[in-house]
Amino acid sequence: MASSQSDAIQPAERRHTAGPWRVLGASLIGAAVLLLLCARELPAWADQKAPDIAPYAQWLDQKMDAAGLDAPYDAIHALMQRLAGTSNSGP
Amino acid sequence: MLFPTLAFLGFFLVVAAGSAALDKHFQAKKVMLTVASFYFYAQWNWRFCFLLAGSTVVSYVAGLMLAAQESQRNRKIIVGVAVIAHILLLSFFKYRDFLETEVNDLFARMGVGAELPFIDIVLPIGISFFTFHGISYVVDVYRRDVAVCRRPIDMALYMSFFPQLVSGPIVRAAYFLPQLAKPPADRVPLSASLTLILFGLFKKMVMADYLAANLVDPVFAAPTNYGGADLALAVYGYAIQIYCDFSGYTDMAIGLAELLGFRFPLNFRQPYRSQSLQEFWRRWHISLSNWLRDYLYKPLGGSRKGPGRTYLNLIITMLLGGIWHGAQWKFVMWGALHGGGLALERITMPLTARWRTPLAGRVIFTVLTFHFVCFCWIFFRAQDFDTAYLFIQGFGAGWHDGVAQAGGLTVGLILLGLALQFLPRTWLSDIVDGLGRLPTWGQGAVAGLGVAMIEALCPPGVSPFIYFQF
Repeated sequence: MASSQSDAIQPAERRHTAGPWRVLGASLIGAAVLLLLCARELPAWADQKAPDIAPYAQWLDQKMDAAGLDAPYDAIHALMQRLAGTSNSGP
Repeated sequence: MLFPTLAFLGFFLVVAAGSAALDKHFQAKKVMLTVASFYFYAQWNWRFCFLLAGSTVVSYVAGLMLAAQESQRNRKIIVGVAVIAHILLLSFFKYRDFLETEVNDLFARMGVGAELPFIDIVLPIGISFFTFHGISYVVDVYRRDVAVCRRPIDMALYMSFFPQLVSGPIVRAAYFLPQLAKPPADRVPLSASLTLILFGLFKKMVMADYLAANLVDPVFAAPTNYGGADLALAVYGYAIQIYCDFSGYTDMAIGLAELLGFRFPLNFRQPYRSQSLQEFWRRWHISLSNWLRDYLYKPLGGSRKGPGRTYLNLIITMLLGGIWHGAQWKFVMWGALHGGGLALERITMPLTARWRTPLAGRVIFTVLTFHFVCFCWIFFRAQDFDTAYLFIQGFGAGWHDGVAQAGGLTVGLILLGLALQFLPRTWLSDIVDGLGRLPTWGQGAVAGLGVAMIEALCPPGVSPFIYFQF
């Protein structure tokens, strides 16, 4: 009863593994980094998709801005736009 | 709830937390994942959950009945009823509009005053994929290719598991159900999963969406406004867009499933490097190609009933594959072209075999295959059959106007998409290896940074995946 389908991830690529708690840890750290680097987007996203949390998103953005934590967002956007050779929308 | 959204990130973090907490309680973990999958599906429309549940019940009960039945005649009846139930469900939502329009047109042409009433029903997202899962399960149980699933929760999770629910890959019961029988022995390949998610996100959000917005959509919307160069680049652009869109989704689905402890099958393998159509279908949407081969082409007789019947079976299979994409004549044409192409390729294979061996021959057949596939994409992408015809006519209208729509970056992305087809697999393995050398927190941080960079590069907003509509 073997399946004819083969795994998408090859055995050689399965060398570096982690348990489920470490997976959760990595996901949370990834989300935190993303939140830090994309904080400016949060109020706009919340306005459109989750109006209930929009005031909190606004508050968070203001706090991060005041603390200078929005700087990475601006830096990364400027860098990527420069790499893509355009000024504002898209690559 | 699309994968590249904050809502999905929040949803996934909750599911990952549940998955970790229930790691030692596999039955409870499966219940949690099933509930999460139905919640995920309900985000589109909660009423669709009843269809998914109904399809699950039909498959589960049919499996139990097949296992309890020894009489071959009765087994045939059971599998027939279950397959027809699935097909009727799919047809009702997918083809009712098309049939209604065609019948009303026919009535009008015949001068019949009557008209079928128009009922506006939304196509439930992912219905094709869970229907295919259901059909493959009952047919495999009937063929005794897979053991009957006796745990309702296993069946429910097999049918609804959220990474593959709305756009595949089509995971076969014989591949997935054994994974639900006992807790996974292997740990999660974290670096490979994160790499796939990031790579899939880049292909979708940057390559596919940018090509769509800046080249493909405008040119296909009004092909008569453009010269041959723009039309040709739009077709190449669409070939790369649909590859990046669909394979990007699949990469993300595979990575997400792996993070939760489940394996998914390969669905794309550098399809545009194929030297024949047959090879193309072994590399493109592999899970659908194999499904069509095992549940349609082979039951029709496959290649066992002589050459003439083989060609006919190929054409019928690809025609139905085309119609599966949608009830429109353009998809019929797309399927017919692929079916006809496959048949012609078989007929001419003895003549062309020796030309395919030298390097020059391999290059020529790769280029020919790619351009035939691109030609077929015109029908697939165009608004309708007439627009596709206008588009093709445009190639003869003039090439001296130069390029009006395609910019340097769009051409660059097309070239990058083509380059991806020929890179050795080791380049991805090297990235997986490099990421895997970092500590777990470092891998998470790099993933977060990678998503932020992709977000900064991509056009504003998130457009739905192309295959959501199928």
